[in-house]
Amino acid sequence: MMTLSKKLWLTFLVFVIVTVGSAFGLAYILYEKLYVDSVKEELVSTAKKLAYDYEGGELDQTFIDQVNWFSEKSHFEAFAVRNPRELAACIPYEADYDTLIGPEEREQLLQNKIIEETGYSERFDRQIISIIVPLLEDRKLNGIIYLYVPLERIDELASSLVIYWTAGAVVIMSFLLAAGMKWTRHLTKPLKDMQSAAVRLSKGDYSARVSERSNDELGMLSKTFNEMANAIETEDELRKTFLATVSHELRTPLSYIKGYSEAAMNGMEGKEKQIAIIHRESKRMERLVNDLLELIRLDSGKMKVDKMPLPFAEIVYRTVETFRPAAKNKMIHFDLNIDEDVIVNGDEGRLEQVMTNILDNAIRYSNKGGMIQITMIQEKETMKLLICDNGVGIQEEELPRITERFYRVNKARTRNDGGSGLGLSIVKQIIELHDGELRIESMEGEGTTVIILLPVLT
Amino acid sequence: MKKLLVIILFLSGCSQASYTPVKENEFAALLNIREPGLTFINKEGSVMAEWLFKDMYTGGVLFPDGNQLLLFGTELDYAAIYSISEGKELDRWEVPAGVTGAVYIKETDEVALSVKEDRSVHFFQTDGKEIKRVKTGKYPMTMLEHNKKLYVINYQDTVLSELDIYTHEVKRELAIPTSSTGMAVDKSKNEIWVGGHGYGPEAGETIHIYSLETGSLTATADAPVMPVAFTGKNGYMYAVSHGSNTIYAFDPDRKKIAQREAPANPFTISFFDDQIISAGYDSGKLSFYEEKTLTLLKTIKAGEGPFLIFVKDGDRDAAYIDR
Repeated sequence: MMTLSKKLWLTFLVFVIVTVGSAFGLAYILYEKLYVDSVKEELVSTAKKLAYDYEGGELDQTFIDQVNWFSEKSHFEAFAVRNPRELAACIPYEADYDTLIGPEEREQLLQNKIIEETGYSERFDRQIISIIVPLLEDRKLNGIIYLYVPLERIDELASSLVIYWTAGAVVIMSFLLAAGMKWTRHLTKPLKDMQSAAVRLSKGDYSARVSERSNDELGMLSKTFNEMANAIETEDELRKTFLATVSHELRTPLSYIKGYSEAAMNGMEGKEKQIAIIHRESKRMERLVNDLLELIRLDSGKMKVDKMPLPFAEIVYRTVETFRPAAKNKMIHFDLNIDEDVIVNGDEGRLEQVMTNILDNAIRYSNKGGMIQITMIQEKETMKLLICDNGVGIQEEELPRITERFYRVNKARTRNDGGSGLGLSIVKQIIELHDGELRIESMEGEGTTVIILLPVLT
Repeated sequence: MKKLLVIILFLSGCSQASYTPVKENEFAALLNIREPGLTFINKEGSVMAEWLFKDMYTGGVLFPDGNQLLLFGTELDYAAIYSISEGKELDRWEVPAGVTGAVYIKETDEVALSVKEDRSVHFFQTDGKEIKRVKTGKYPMTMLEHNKKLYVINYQDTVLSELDIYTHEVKRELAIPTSSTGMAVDKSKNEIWVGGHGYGPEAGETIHIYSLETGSLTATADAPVMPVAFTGKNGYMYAVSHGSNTIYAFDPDRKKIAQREAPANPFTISFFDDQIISAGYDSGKLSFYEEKTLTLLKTIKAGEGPFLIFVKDGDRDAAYIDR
């Protein structure tokens, strides 16, 4: 498999090769250009100096010998030519022989131009840099001085440099590639860590985390990964707790039902009481299951909310009326202070459920002869509903968790009170579906105030 | 002046260009190659007319009437006949590509063209109709007609062919050095002088003289470097060597009696009236010399790259070197 680090490393490798290669090529071109140009310049000036000795007339042997002598002493090859056949003098006759210079060159030389050539010479069967200087006398090409340097010599010089170059390039490349390998490993390590952590997560090890070493994109990714892992772990904890709680909540009424039904079957006395208990526990189970279904629907977003303009006062009155018998049993008074003009955009059934759940709690946790104050006012564009009881209240440290599912302040007691432990969770969800807010304030032993804030239709 | 002439030539139409007519009875016409054209010179050394051509003619022959001039180009597939006195092209002959030389045969009124491509000499009637083709050797080039025989130097061969002008058949072959160029007949001795470039890097320095009777080499004459053209009169022979820019004069005993510097890279020499003229291909100059002594009389600037001279010298036979 082509891993990211391999890809990075390969990219790096290509980059290094291209860079070193082009640097090499550029240097070689520059070298060749500068060096060859300087050699050419030297050739030209030398050839000119030799040509100064020509004083016109036919080229004599002394001059030719002189040039030959120079050739022996110098690192340039030099010779003078006077043979008109070599000088392409027979053009326009067809050349039956490979002359030293061609017709175009002869034409240039006749115009007293110096000829510079670099390349392969058939005559010398090698690559050369050559300079031809004409020895002219009034359009008579009496001869030429031919100076050249075999290119191999230049190449030899270049090749000695090439060794240094190659050695340098190998060292630099090895260093760069080793460093590059280390660097890519360092770069991709967080990704590898993250991958193994993700594998652990997928296998159920929710404690898997990665180290957050840097503040760059990878560091941020690590941080986000850890946050995700935290969320998964928390969710997993919640799920476990929830399952345990549900099982526990269902087991209590079930054991009642099982016990009393066995008693009834065995013909124990007090059958009516036994059946009443079985009935009560069945109802509690039913309510528990209904509430759970409700919550699941709310959670999954499948709960349909049919919003319409509602006078909220009506809902309050109606619910209070429903609870009056229960309140009367505990001799609890209602004190209503309602602004009847408040209209909210909401689902009537759901909001009624909100009121039902809150009032149910208020009555359940109020002492006999207590008072429930319900105040509803409009503050700007918000409806504020306060349901205030002077019941047992809630400890301060338990307040933040009061809306959690199955959370009970007094576990043993409330279960006997018939609550499912889901009421406030449902309330919170519904209020939030209506873009509202649920606040609960309480002092232990002095009572609880539930505050509902809902946007008002204006 | 030349530019103006070019413009005039260009404007004067597509089919027939007209040139300055030369009606004089005596002129030397230089065929230029570097800047294709003809330069007409009079005896005083003044330029009478300049003709510029679009095509590059590399050789030609002046007909005995001294008016019609046939010009050919090695790269062309036609030969053009110009009327010098009328200053216009008269005719075009369809010829094979690779023509290297031309000669007018007075006895039969035929024109012989040497062709390098098929190594043959082609005979044409004066109306341009080809009548015969005779294979001679590799690269036939210089030709000369003498005593009902046509002599052909095969430039890249070692054979000089002798053809019968009536039967057009090769009668005899003389062994000559390769790269031979230029020929002249010494009537008094019945000898033929042959010049040359030399072989390979070796520049020729010698004129080879052959007996026309036996066909064998009878003498040599030193004329360094690379004698390539001849002219003669009254038993004296003159040669021009383009390698050393020199002209030589030989007396009837083949003894060198004078030598003089010629214009740069001369390929041609000719008699013009009683003067000898030679033109330098590289310098574009034409020099006049006194005969026998070769005293330089004058040098004038003529066209670019003069390669051949056609002379009309009064009523004298223009196509013939008389010795």
